[in-house]
Amino acid sequence: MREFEQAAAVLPPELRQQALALPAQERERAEELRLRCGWPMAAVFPEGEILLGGRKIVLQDLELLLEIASRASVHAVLAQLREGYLTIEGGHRLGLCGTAVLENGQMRNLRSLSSVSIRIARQHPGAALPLLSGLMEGGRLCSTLIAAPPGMGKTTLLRDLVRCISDGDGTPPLRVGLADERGEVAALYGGVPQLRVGRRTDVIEGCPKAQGAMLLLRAMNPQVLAMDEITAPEDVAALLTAAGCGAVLLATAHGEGDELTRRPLYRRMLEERIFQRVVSIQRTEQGRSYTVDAPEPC
Amino acid sequence: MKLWGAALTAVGCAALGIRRGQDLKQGVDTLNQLLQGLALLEHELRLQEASLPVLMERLRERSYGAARQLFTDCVTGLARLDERPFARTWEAAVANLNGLCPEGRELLFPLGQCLGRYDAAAQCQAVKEVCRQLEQLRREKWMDSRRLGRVYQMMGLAGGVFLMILLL
Repeated sequence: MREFEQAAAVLPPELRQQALALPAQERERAEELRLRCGWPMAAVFPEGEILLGGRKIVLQDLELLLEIASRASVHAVLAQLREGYLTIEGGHRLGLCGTAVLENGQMRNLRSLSSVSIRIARQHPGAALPLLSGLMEGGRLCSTLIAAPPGMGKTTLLRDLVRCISDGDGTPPLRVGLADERGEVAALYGGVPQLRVGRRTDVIEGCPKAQGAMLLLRAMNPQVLAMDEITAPEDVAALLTAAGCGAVLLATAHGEGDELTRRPLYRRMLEERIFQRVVSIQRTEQGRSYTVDAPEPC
Repeated sequence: MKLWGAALTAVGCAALGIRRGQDLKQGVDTLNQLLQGLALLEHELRLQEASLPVLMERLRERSYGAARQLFTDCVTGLARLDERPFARTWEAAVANLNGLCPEGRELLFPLGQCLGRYDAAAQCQAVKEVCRQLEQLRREKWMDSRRLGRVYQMMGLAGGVFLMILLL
């Protein structure tokens, strides 16, 4: 089943038919499906969001969608729902909004859903291949930070880098440990990565990145440690520890250019010189292009 | 010949009375089976974080009688979740239960709106509440079966004997 059809399978029957009525070419390009109470369903394309017409979405549609996506098992996926998302078969991701139910100041559940986004996971095998030569030095892979604003494809690029390194596609094969806190890189489903991350990749999912990274270092002895979205000082601390253990690091961060040196969090990483390469992503008319730089000391 | 006919009529009447008594007892047995099945469901929900299809499959294997029938129908319905919401599957499964009294069905129907939709604690709470009400119903039905069961049997036998006397 193709990605779009797989993601649309969680829609209630009537909405599913509506989504599948899109021309094949549009289905290939669609990045997301968005359902908001009181509005018709919309599809998100690179150029923007387009309403698909049809009737307005009601609460029951969103509840049924969640029931199908969770296989009528909200209790089994509550940990993810508390974070506002749910990974489904194929690695597609549901983002959920509604009225939060709080318990001791922490979100316990969501009731009265107001909107749902279905992010269609698309893989781009080979996206990282042109970069690989720039990431090598003396035949050895350099620790690399992928830095770009949101929505530019950092996770997609990281995933393909992991796949290349793990499968030995364009580089000597290495054992990769992947700390995939939100399940966006490998998207485990029933223990099986739904997205291609290579045959020498061990994935820990659902636990904070820093903890996951330390667990991988202790238990799986990775030659390369990969993690998506460095956002907290603990993540940086884990990266520093991993670098001290001799593991090559792959990570992504929000931001570009000077932003990296301005933010104290990233500044520390650059000061410690744990990354020897920084990849930035640019959107062009032909798609996306990548630039590889050696970071300057702060 | 006349004697045979009268005897058969009498036996038929007695059998009707006994059958009615057994129906009452079977209703209690059905409630018992469902109570055991629901207790298992509550236990599994409390201890496991398994998805509902996995849980129902396990329960189907571990339960018997009416509960087994209920969980089997749920397993079948859960495989078609993209066509029919679970609440409707549950409703159909409850409606399909043999030997369950209408009051029992009324108690079970709302559970379909809760199972799989809330956290485990809320679901356990709902199952417990239904169990409590079913237990109360079971007690009433058991009393009825003891009291009315004998009455029906006696009435059947007495009616049979009376008919036999009339016919002879």
